[in-house]
Amino acid sequence: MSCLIRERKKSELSDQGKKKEAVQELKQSAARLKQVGSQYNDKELLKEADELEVQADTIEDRGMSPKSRKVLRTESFQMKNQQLSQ
Amino acid sequence: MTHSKRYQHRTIISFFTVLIVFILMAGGVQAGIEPSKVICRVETDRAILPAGDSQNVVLKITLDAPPSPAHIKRPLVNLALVLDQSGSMSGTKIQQAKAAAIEAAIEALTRLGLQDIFSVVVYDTNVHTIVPAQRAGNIQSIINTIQQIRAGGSTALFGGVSQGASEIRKKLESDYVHRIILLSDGLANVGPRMPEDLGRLGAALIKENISVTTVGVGTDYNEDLMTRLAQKSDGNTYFVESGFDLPRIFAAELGDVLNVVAKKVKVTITLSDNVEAINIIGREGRIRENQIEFYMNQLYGDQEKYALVEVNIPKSTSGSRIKIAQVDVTYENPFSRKPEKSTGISYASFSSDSGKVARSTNIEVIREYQLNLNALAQEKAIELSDQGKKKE
Repeated sequence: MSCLIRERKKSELSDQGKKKEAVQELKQSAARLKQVGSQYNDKELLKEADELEVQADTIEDRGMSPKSRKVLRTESFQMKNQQLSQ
Repeated sequence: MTHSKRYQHRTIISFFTVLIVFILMAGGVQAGIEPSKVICRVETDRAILPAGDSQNVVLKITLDAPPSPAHIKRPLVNLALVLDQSGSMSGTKIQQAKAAAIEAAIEALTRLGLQDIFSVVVYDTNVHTIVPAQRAGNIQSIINTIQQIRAGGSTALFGGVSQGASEIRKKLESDYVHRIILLSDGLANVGPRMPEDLGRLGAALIKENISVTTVGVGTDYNEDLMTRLAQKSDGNTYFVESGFDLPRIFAAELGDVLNVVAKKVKVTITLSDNVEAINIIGREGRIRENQIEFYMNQLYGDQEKYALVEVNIPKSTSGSRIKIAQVDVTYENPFSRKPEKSTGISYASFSSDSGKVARSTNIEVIREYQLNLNALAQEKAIELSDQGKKKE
C-alpha cells in the first residue's frame, strides 16, 4: 500500500470516529428497552426500542450524519428534561 | 444575495413577524380564584422491596403542575427574540414556512392580548437591537422594521444572546416570565463560540430567571452549543430540518411560555439516615451529603416534571418499613406572587415474599428510568462517534 493510500485510509477511519462502538451502544440500549418492555408488556418502551434500532441501523449504514447527531442530541435533552413541546 | 437566499430570508422574517403579532396581542384576563398548588409525589420502582441486604432503589420525584386557571390573569411574558441574520441564514430550506407562519398568525390573533413585553435582536458580525423592549404598540411599525432585515456577515451568537438578555433586563424587576428564543442555523464564529462558553452564559442567565429556548434550523448549526445553552438556562431546545416546521415549534414554545403556573421551583430531597445518594439520572441536579437539589425555572400548566435519583438503602428485615426521603418543593405562585410549598415523603416496606415484591413493581417509574438511561446511551453514542474524529 502506498504511503498516499495509507494516509487516505487513516484519514477516512479518523473521520468515522468510533462508529462501531456508537452503534453498539445504541443497540445495547435498544435491547435493554426491549427486554424490560417485554417483561412488563409496556408498549412505550417497546416502541422506543424499535425506533432506536432503526436509528442505530441508519448510523451503521451511513455513519453518524449531522442529522442523526442532532436527532440524538435533541431527543436526549427532551427526555431528560421532560420537554413535552416538541 | 441569490434568489433562494432572499426567499429563505423572507421566510425567517415572516416567522418572526408572526411571533411578534402573537406576543403583541397577548394579554391578561380577569382576576379570580387562585389556582391549585403543585403536587409532589415520591415513588420507588417497587412499593415493596426484598428484605435482606442493602440495595439500590430508584426514586422518582414528580411535580404535577395544576392546570392554568381559566379565569385568572396569566403571568405576563417578557420575551426577547434573537435572530441569526448571518449569511448562513440564507438558503432554500425555509421556503414553505411563510404560508404556514401566516396561518399561525391568524390563530395567534384570536388568542392573545396586549400587555406582554417583547424585543427583537438580530446578529451577524455585529449585534443590533431592532425592536427595543416595549409593550404592545404599533404592530405595523414593528413588522415593517423586521421585514427590513437583510442577511449577511458572520455569526456573533454569544453577543446576540447577551444583547437579548439586556433587553429582558429592562423589565427584570417585574413579575414577568422571562424568555429568550434563539433561532440559528449556523456555527458561531464571532466572540465566545464553544458549548462551554454558552453553557456559562446560560448558567448566569438562569440566576436572573431568564431561560433561553434554542431553535436549530437545518443541519449546519452546532447542536452541542444550542442544547448546552438551553440546558443550563432551563429552556427548551428544538431541531427543525426546515423552516416548514417553525410555525409548529413557535406555537408549542409560546404555548409553554403562556402557560406558566409556577416559577423559581426548588426541589430539595433529604435522605433519611443510612440512605445514601448514588446517582442522579437524567435531569441536572446536585448531591450534597444527604441532600439532593434540583432547580426548574418554570412549570407549565397541567404538565409533569420529574427527577430520578438512585439511592442505596440499608439492610432490612421482612415486615419492616422505613422512611427513605422527604422532598420539599418551594416555588413562587405567579398568580398570587406568593411563595408556596409542597412536600412529598417516600417510605419503603420490605418482604421476603418475592412474588409480593414483583407484584409491587411501579411500571411508571421503571419506564421513565429506562427511557432516561436510553437518553444517556444516546449521549454516549455521540461521544463515541466523535472520538478520534478530525476537527473540522
